[in-house]
Amino acid sequence: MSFDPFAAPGATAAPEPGASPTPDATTAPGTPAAVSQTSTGNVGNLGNSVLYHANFPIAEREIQLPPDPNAALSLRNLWKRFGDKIAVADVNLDVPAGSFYGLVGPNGAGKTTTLSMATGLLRPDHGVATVLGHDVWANPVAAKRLLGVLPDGVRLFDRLTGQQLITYTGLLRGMDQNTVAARTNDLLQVMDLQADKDKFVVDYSAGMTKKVALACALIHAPRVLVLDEPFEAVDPVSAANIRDILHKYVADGGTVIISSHVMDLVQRTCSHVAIMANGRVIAAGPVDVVRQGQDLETRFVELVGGRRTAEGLSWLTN
Amino acid sequence: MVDKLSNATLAKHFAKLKLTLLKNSFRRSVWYAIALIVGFLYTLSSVVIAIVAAIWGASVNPILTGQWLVLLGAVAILGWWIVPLVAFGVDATVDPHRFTLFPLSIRQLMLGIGTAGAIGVPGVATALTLLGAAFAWWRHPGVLLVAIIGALGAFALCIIGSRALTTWLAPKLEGRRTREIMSLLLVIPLMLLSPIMSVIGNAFGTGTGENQATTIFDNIFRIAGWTPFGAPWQMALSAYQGDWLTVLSRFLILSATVLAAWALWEHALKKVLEHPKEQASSTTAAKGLGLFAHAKTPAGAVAARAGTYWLRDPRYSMSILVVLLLPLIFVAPTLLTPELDYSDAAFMRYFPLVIGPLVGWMLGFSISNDIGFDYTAFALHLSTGVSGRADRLGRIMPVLAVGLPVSLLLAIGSVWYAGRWAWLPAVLGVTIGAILLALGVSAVSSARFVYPVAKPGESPFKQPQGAMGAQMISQLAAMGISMALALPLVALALWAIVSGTLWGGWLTLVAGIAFGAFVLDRGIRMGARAFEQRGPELLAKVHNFL
Repeated sequence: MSFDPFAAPGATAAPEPGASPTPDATTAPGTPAAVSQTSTGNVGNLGNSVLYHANFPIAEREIQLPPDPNAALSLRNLWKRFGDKIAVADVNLDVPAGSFYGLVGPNGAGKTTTLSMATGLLRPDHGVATVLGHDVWANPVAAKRLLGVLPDGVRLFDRLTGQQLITYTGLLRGMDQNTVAARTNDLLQVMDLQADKDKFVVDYSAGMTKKVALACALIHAPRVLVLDEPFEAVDPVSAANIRDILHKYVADGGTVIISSHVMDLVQRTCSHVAIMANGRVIAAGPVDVVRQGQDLETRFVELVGGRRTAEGLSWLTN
Repeated sequence: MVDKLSNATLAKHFAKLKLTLLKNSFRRSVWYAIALIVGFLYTLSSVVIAIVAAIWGASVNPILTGQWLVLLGAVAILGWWIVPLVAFGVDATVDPHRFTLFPLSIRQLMLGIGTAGAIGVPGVATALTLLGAAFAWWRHPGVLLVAIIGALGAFALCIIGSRALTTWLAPKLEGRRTREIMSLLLVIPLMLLSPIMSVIGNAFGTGTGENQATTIFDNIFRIAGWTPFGAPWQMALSAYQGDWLTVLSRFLILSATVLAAWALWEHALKKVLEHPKEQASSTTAAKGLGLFAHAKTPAGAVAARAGTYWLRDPRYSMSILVVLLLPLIFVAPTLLTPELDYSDAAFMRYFPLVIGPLVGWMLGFSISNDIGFDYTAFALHLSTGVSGRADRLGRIMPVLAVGLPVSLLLAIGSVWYAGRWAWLPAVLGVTIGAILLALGVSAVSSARFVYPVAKPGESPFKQPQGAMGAQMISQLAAMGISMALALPLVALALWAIVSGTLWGGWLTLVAGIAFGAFVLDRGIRMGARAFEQRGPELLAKVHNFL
């Protein structure tokens, strides 16, 4: 069945800021009213606070800015629907080149779906994604050359040894054998996998698996790194090492986009942050602007909502 | 606050859990529900047929029926003991590890797990069959009583024995490699079933006629009757024959085994609960880069990866095993039946000629769902932006490099066996054509359709749900197309062979190479285009496999 997310908003007159016609028009009938109310409130709240280079006020949505060719990653009006559920609803985001960008949001907010569409793994129902000016879906080969991707929730070719898997990725990228061998060796060293390079990836721990996948994302020296939950299950020492590598990479002009649940990590690590909820970007910009003097976690909970007091479990302590 | 559970309540809870799981499995998909219902009906009809056969048989020839009951009953119990060991991952609902955190005593846990085990479809079907078969002796109330006791004992032996063995051996089989090898070993007896049957058939059929056959049967039956597996059935037969001493001895064997199994189960369960899952210690490793040392291009890399998987992934290795055993299955009957009249003998000698083309076709078609085998690891091919051509070529290369020589050797072997060297060019032509055609069709179908197969690391025997759905139809279509393409070649070869036209054979060879190469080339081009257009859709489909 055809899916045109713009049919309803386009037909109505330009609404006043904060009124948000889109949730009502596009939310599936089964969605509780409370959800759209919350998001309306949030968007209204945002209207007069943090609207950085992304996420225009609702009234301006129909003014479609072209993707920013200088941005490391530029997303315009991305939509994705799975069955009845709208996973990503009109996401607009510009990730400036040279930034360390954090994408945060509660479970099911659409982070992984957005990143998949931005990296050529999942075809959007609508919208444009560009990497340094190259359209991911119109010219995938050029865009993918610039991208290093650590997807979440996919398996690896885990019957290969760690060394073989990294080598395989390098060769798939069309790199020559000697470069691949040298870089594989460096990556194994840096990821602290040298001792386990001959073990099959299937026998790796969760943290080691993340690290080898990260090595695979780095081998072709991409200009933009998109890492979905890169620190999950990684031990603190390795995580610190990886953070150092990523910071150096950013300092040298690369761009990193990570998704995470850990606000503290994002606040400490990232220069920019975007907060997603219910398939939308509800705040985006430099970390200090988004958090408005609060710590990021407090600000996040404030924006996303959903906190409840613990009084429900009165029997727990008697 | 937390009340102590009574045993009856506990058993009820486990039974309810099992029934809920069963009920929920209906909701997974329509196709799965249909498969389940067909399975139920099939099981039900088997139960009815078994009971009717037992009762009818006993009215005709009670002794012989009793003997068959001993044999088949023993096989049934053995099945209960062995199948859960090799078919790992088939039913984990009663995995004791899941209950470690509940405050249950060992005995309570055993009661619960035993109940859950008895309540599933196989449990109920077995219970019905065993009790029903006991009524073969309904004409003699005393014997019937013994038979029912025997049936109950046998059922206990099924449940307790299978639990005891799996609980005891599971920690020892926990290593990934061990389990994989076990599941591969299971293929061998399955594949060799037909040659074994023909050996047994020969043993029965030839020699000094019926006497010898009866002796073999008698011996097997006599031995089975002494084992704990045959003992419960021997009881009823001996009771019918009035041999009460034997009844008593078999009853002792049966009860001793049940008690021993119970004790083993209790002991093993205690150990499992005290030592929760141990880390697999038998991690394997491979030195260096292996095949990747020779890979220079993206296509070469895909080939190295695919080749590595053929050797390391049981889902692929299984097809190698099948291919190696196939010739045996074709040749064995002819080797074992020496005295045949001339026309039969000729047929038997020429029949293996199909091995070469068949193996070639099977190997070529084995990668027709290769992205389904990759599962979500396929995301790597997508994110690296590897070209469709490199992906297609890489997957084809290892099959061609190994499969072509192997099927050619088999073809040459079959010609030698037939003793007709003049037919060699024709047979080689069909063989080469078959593998190239099948690879060409695979190159397209694996880029257009994926359907669920056992995931990496799962038992190669596990047929995931949905595999019987609409996706299979496209696969069947691809199979049909590759066969239809081979038809002209086969016709040409048959004409050359039957008419004895020498140049016809050479023509087949040339045609096989040329036509096969043409189809392969077209297939790679079409497949590469489909791959580049529909890569994300393929990944999305693979993601949705359950």
